[in-house]
Amino acid sequence: MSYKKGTNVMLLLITLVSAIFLYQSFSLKTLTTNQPIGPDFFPKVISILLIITCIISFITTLKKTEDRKVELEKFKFVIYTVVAAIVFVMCWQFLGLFYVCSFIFLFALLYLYNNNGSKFKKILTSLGISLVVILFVYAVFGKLLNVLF
Amino acid sequence: MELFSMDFSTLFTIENLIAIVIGTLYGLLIGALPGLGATIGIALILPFTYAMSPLGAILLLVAVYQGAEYGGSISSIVLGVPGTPAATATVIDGSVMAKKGYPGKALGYSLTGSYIGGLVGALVLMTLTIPLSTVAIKFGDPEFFLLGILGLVCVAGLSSSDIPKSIISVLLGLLLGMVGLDGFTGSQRFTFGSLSLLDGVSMIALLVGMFAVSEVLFTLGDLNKRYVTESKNLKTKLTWKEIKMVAKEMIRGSIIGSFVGVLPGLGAGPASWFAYTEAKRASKNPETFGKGEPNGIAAPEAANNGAVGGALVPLLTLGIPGSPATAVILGAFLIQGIQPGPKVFETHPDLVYGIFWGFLVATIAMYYLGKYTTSLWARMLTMPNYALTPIILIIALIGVYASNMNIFDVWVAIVAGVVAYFMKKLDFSLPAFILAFILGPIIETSLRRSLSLSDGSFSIFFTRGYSIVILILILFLLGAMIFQKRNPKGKSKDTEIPNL
Amino acid sequence: MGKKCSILVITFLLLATVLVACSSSTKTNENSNQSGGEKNTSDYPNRPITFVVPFSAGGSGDIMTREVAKLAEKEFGQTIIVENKEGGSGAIALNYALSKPADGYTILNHSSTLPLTMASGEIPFEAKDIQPVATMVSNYQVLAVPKDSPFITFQDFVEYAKNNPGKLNVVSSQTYGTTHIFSLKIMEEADINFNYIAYDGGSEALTRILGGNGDAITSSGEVVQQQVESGDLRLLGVSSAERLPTHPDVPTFKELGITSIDDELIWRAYFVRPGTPEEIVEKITEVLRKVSETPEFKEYAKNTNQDIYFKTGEELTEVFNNYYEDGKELFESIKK
Repeated sequence: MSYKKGTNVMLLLITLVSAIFLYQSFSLKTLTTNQPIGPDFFPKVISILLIITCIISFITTLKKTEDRKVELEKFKFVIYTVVAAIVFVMCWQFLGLFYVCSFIFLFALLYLYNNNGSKFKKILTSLGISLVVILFVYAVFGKLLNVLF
Repeated sequence: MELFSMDFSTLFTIENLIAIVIGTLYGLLIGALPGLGATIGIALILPFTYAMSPLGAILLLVAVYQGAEYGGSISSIVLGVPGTPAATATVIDGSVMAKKGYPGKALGYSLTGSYIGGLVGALVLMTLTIPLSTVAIKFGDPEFFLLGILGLVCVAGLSSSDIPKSIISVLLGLLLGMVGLDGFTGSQRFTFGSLSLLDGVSMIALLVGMFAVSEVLFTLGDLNKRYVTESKNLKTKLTWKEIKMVAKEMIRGSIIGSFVGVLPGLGAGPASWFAYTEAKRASKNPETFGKGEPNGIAAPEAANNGAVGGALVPLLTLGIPGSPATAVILGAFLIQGIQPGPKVFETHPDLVYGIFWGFLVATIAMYYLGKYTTSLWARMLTMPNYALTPIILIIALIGVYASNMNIFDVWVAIVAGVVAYFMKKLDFSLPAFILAFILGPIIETSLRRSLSLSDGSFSIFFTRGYSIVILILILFLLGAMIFQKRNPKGKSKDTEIPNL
Repeated sequence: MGKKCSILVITFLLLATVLVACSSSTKTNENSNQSGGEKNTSDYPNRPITFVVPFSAGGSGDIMTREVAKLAEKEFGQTIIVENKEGGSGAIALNYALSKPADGYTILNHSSTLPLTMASGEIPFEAKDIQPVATMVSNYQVLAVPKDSPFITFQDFVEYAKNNPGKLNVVSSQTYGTTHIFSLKIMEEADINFNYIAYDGGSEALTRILGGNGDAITSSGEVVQQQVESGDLRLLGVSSAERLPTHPDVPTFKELGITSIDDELIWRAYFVRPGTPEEIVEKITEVLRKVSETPEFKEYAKNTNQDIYFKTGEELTEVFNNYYEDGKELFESIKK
């Protein structure tokens, strides 16, 4: 990923977010009894300032002559992890089987990340670690702290 | 002096000593779990105090409070996961030092810092309670507004080399801090119809997402690495020389922490950031900050434990809790049939002085119990990354859920983690973002209240004694920063914080 | 190695069985929850009851609920689970409680703030969305000034406010809370106008008034009780129907001519989802009544400076609706 391009995309996204906030703050009340500034004042000021600084940053990035490559190490793994986390939380939220879901999630990640040894050994170590961690979670969060998952 | 005339046999009973030991151990554990902190820890153990004597009950909770504030740094250092805002500043240098292979040393600095902070806080509590509370109470909304601004100026001192990007980080933090119900008018701001956003974006979800989840995504690049290979690096022992090196910043951090802690509403989070930025500003080698600088661990840790003693000041003298954790302790007092406040020194002197001395004992207990238990946590870093990373991820997500029992927050953490991953790669400043997010609501509400009090006139900020003092402090800091910028020698000082 | 592996495999298999067993048992439980709600109201309760608290653990509502839960467990003969669902000005807890079946196994705790936040439109719920069961405790409200204030009586306060409209700063807790309604009623009936400055809680407002950053405070009695006793604050009036036994010299607002403030209290109560079978509501009411009469609960109320205030049925519905209607009317008038 190019540093310049990445920055510009990020700035564009932030500008978009602040534009949404700015747009929304116009539907807020401007004045209320006994209050010199209303709930819309701060959001308006900040989102406008944010848009301005984004433009400034955009210009300074353009002016910079040198560009560098941003290393996204093992980006494939990043995507796997994020997708796995999303699937995990969805299962947790909609199926409710927290301990089963988290066990599978943990096992999947451990197995995926590990590239040492045979397949069998990888499965065993991943299972072992998942087991210990989930038991720890059950004991500490579930039993000691009475968290209802 | 009344402080010494109390009957110490009422303090050193078996019940009280057990309460202190159990409270400290429990506090260390709760603090070390990401997402959970002093407040939740105290609330969860509160029902067990109902059957205890008043002194034992309060000492148990105070010990939990002290232990949890230190415990928070354990996960910050070992896992790179700050459980509370107060432990976030510690991540910057603490986790870097741990990942260089010295988790024991990093924990040692944090433990020593916490200990000194706790002791100074205890001394402040024991000697300055009455005068401090009379000063603190004079702080009104104009002062809180200016303190918030002072905090933002401090962030600017922290931020990376790319100035527009750090300003963007600050503004983004302020903007996100405005989500939720507006306390003055009841208008829903930027909630997009979600009930979970009515109280704003959860701070713990944001913290864990931005620091822990993004850190997990970062480590994926290096899965076969093992941070610690020699077990002697797990020992938390520091040499005299090492302690002397951080002594000055520890004392300074402790004092900052104790005084900021006294102010209701600010508390340990901003205190630790003030201490961190002050340590960096005062340092002869500010470029070492962010690369595992011992002072960058000791100063904020001293501050957040100093704030514990500070927060007890308004609670005992006025019956006003200075932090969410002390609000729960107030509940414990009430259940025992005791109302802390101006009269408690007359009605229950033995209890108050018992708490003072017991608090000191709890601080000492925290040091020794911490010394022998924390290297167990550091042991986690002897695991290779491919095993450690998934564990950190799942514990972090569970911690976020446990903090509020709301699965929406877990989603917030994941989104924040992904966004922070790219922000870090592109040199945006996450500490600036987080501190702005914390201070934003304080700044906005106190500005609006100040103007309400003054009928819209801004003169309220220039006509009050304490306001003027804070204003001068802000101008001084701004001046120092501009001077550093102009000064070519200072240019090298402007190094960015790697990976933050 | 082989031995280690087999041990691991066996532990895993064992765990898997346990997990499957657990998950299937929770499933059957859930099924029985849904069907159990409609029939068999006579054997209520036959499984644990959940109390939902819209505040964080350790808050006053939470402390009361844990006390009530402890005492009610004996009466119900079932375990009681206290769940904290804070956030969204109570909307999260409300939404959560309403998503559960109307079978009396989920009981919601809230205070007199609930009808008011509903009335102000802060949360997307209306009075008809919830059924009040019983109130437990209450607290009167006060108007107080610092000891060095020039106002000795309520008349002094009104007179100054009349001559200097909008100049007086009255600190208090929360917009659209009970103390806000209380303050608005004072303004309306005394025909005065002052700045109502809302803080995040009673104690924050108290700090400001003690520090000289305000002219007066409106709050619940428990918030200022210590400072009134020590002489740092002076009461100008109380919202209860009768004068307080502890401060017989302080007039009630009704005596002062503010007739709409008659027993304007802050109370804490329990609610269920509308549609809960009559017999079950009665059973819960009966248990709560017994709890409110225990010496332990009286001790709790005394320690936390609250009064026992047990109201149920139509009487409570009327109180609830009055708060709701008052809120609607008064908040509408200031929103313009």
